[in-house]
Amino acid sequence: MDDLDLRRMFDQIAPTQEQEATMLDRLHRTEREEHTMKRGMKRGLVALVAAALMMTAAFAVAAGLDQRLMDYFGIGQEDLTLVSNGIVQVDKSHTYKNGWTVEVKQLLFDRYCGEILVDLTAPEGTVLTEQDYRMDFQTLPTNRDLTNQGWGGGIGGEYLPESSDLAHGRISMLLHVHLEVASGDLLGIKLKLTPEKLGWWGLEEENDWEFHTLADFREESWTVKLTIPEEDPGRTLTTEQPLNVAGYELPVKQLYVSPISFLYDVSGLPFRGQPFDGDTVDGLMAVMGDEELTNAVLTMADGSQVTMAARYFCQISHPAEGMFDQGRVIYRLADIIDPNQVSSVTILDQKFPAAE
Amino acid sequence: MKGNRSTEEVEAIYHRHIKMVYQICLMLMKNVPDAEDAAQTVFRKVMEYPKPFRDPEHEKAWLIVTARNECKNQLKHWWRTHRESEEAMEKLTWEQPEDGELWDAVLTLPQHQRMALYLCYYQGYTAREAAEIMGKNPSTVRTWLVQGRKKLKEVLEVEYHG
Repeated sequence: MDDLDLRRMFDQIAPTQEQEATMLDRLHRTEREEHTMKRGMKRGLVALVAAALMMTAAFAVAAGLDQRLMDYFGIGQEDLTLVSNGIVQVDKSHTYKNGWTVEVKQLLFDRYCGEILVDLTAPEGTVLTEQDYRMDFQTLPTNRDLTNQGWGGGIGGEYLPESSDLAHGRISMLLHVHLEVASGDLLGIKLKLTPEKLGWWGLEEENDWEFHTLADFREESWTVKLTIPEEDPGRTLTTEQPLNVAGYELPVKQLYVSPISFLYDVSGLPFRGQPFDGDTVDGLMAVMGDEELTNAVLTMADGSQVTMAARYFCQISHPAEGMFDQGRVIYRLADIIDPNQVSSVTILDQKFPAAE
Repeated sequence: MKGNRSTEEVEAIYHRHIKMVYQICLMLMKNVPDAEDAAQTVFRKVMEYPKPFRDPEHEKAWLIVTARNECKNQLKHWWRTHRESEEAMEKLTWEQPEDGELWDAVLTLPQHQRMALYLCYYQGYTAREAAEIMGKNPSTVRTWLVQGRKKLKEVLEVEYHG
């Protein structure tokens, strides 16, 4: 296979002339239908949409979950009860001296994952372009002694283009917090969230990549305290069965399922007493950190299977780096589930019955 | 057509870029009906995008980013919105490219590797330019290109040699 083969193959997946014409016709037709509907049904539609919005808003408020979080996680109205004890209403906002307003709306959490919905509004007159926006922030628990415990994990602000309204200066972000091994858990903590900056990665002239800062929030250091309830929305499972990863039989420390995520921890990574060994770490990472989503599957009591929508986080820690010989993988589920209905989990084609 | 662009302008953009937009959508969505829907949505966004494009390169890059974002968004919701019709989707057929094995192998790659290969080996972007469009570091994109080609080679060798 050479470059020419690739080019020829991509050439072959171009649309046919007939497809091009059909798609253009559909584009015109949709526009005409919208136009006709707008003229003829504008008043009726406005009333209908308003009524529908009121109903949706009423339901969403009653159930306590923002529609955008419902959209992101694919949570239908029928699933709301499953996530209801994982919701924290925040609604805290601050307008910075630079004119930006940051509103922390809601938090959806389980034992190890926090998903924080944030709206950012630009100062009047700011022209926002479509970018892959990133938001930097810090989190720190304020009611937990960290002397003998670490605090870290995967964090990052994901841009939600469908929920944003750039023409009106509003950017919606979902801030992910995924705890690493030895950071304890999120239950019962008071989490201090500090926005730092908003921007995107771009190329500067002939130089390397740089973060284009759109808004810097660090001077004022405004923080929001999020109090997370102690009740666990998920379920921890145990097993005596080891997990075979790249030929190593690793004890499984825990399996955890919540309505929105699946996590597994392994211990006994082959590092103890050894100098840092990049090849072994890379070998394990290639298996556990593989983005192939079929590497984990949940089987429910009714026999149905729930797959993974994304691999959130993978950690292989090494004692030589001051860490532990443990590993952790966290996935986002493709479907919302009732953790109590999980009958088994399959990791890397190895099945683990669900046991408390 | 609605928005600030004239019908003629949108049609001209459509004819200039439908091939590329559709290829990206098919590569990411992996089936024709979803690719057509996604491509149509991209051009609806062109209609609604109120600002002029700075130059042809900006226009092209905007469409690539929008097509990718649209597909990513649709894929995020794929299981919830299409799960019931999965069986029906499997029954859909379309004319496979002559290089079917290579196409099947490309579809086994992660999205970001597929996109990097397409931008660099088909659209002729450098790794640095592709990285800018994808919002990643150039070295990351170079790694994806190497990994993508390596995996394709492995898959094709397995198929060829059994």
